[in-house]
Amino acid sequence: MDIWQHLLGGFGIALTPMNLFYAFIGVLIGTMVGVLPGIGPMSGVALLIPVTYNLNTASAIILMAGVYYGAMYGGSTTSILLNTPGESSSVVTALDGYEMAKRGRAGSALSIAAIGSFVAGTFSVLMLNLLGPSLAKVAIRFGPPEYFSLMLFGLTAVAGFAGKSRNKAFLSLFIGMLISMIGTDLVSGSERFTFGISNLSDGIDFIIVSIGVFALGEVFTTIVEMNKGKQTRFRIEGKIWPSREELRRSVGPIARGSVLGFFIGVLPGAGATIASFIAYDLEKRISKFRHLFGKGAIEGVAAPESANNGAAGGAMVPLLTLGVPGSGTTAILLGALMIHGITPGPLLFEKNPDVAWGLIASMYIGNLMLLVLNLPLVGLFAKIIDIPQVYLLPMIIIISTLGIYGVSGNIFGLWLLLFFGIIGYFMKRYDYPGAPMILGLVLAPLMEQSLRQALIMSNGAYTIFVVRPISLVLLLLAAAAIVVPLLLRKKNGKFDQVEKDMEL
Amino acid sequence: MEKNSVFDRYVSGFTFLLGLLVIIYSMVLPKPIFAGQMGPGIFPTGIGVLIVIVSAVLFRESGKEGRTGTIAQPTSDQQVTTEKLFNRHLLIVIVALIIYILLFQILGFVISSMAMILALGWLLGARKWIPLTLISVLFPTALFLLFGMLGVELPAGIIHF
Repeated sequence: MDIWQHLLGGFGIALTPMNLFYAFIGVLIGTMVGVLPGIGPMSGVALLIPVTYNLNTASAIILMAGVYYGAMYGGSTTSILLNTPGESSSVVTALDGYEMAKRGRAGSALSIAAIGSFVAGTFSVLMLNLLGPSLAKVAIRFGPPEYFSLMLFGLTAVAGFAGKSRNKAFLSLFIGMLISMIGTDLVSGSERFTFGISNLSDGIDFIIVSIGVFALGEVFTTIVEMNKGKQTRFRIEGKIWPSREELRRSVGPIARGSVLGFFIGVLPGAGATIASFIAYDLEKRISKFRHLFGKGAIEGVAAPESANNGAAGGAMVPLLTLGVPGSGTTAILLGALMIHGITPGPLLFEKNPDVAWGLIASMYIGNLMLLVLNLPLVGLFAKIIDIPQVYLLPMIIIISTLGIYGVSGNIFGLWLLLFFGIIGYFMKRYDYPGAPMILGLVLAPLMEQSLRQALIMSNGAYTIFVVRPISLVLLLLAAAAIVVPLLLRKKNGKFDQVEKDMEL
Repeated sequence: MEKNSVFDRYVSGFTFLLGLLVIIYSMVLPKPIFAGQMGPGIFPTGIGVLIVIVSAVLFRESGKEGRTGTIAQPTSDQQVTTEKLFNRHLLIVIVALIIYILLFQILGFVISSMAMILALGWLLGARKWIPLTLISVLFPTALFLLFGMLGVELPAGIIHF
């Protein structure tokens, strides 16, 4: 069967009333998560895992992926109207988007953002659709040594790009890996780091850490910063639809942003935020209207908003074909799939075509839904930000505790949640990125398993990782991922502005 | 800025010791039964070594920043937090959460959550009673029913549906 037949099968799954409903709920929650500054795609997806516990796998992943790419749409709304980005991936959109709103062109800015997001989102699904299965065919020949090296590369790349201090990112990563070691080692049967506490013998669920560090940590941070002065908010005046001139000027930035975003998204480490900055920077260099940048240039909205959506789609490629997430949010998606007994990877397209193709088909549909949701209803979504924090924060706390109780079924999980919430608060205040921690937590057990299998293959000789060519190349890439950012950093400090709190 | 690097120094000092303890702990984990098989201690030992190394580097880095004050300035001023690390609101929320967790199983999800939203909302400064009461009653009830439909078990506590 060729991919189009598979895709048709996927649409058969995605178009069932149930899955259409889940896709819709997913993108709706995603848009809201995108609009609200306090809550990002990582907490959004993590909070939904307990809810989707008893759904079938395809529906669960359709719902959660919808939140992920939906958040990329919503992020621009408050950037443009309020100069307060809903997501870090829309920080750069505020530069020109807010200026456009000041000049009474909020409507065009919002609609160009939605159109660019749609084009990029659809482009990246198409690429996933075309490239995914062939990439999976290559990866199917990967043995345990290759997987180990691949995951090592993924981890070094993510930590290498993240945060203001790479050392803090690496520390966060290693602590995440350490947390994953707590519990019973399934191979030897011996307990590790449990210190006789029976509640720990099953390990600490990654959902507790994700919701604690992200959702609860964000709640604590928001509470401390509450009651700050409000910024002027612009109304959407006149028509929403952009003028023909604006549309024409946006074609190039949207096309370049989509392609750039997708490929940056595929690479481990550089997520939607970096993609949006690079796309903005590129347009600023090559545009005919570069003198207007920062003064309300439509290109400055079109390019980054396309790029962040392209990147969100691109990040799904390594997740689905290799089973190795390149970002925090996709790490949570990986964990969610594993809860449902599915390990993404090259076999996913063969063994669980309903999940792989159902998801891909639902992403086409979800992007269409988002376009419809975001064009006429954008004013409505902008109102979400009017919900006072005093109502919103207790509600997020309740959803967090409820979710964790649903997962762990005991009060001990709730104490851990509080503990990780406080840790997450300190991490946010002192610039320790949380995404690497989640990535380490999810990937370390898989790495240990690959390492074990590889060493059995080689009778205990570690040389197996360097004598196999693919593994060697991946290890060299991992080394490069540590060295190259060091060199880049010396040359220009450009990434510094992105690095403060990246959504990885 | 100075305070940041002091915090980093404490953290890296702590994680350095933690890493050492992890290495020692992993060494005493049982050896594999079959030769050639990887024991449960190998991987954690590696993690411990990495933690020790990166903590040492971070410790040195934070020391430098503390002395020379050359830490990179945050570029977008909207992200600079000038607030204190702990303020009254944060302490209220943490205490409320502790009480909430303690009451969670006794009172059940619905009642404890209603009390939580009502109390926390009021303590954080909400004074419009009608929306506050409505949210605190409707939101937990809706969640309870939703999770019930999805088959997630929650403590019903003193109310039984």
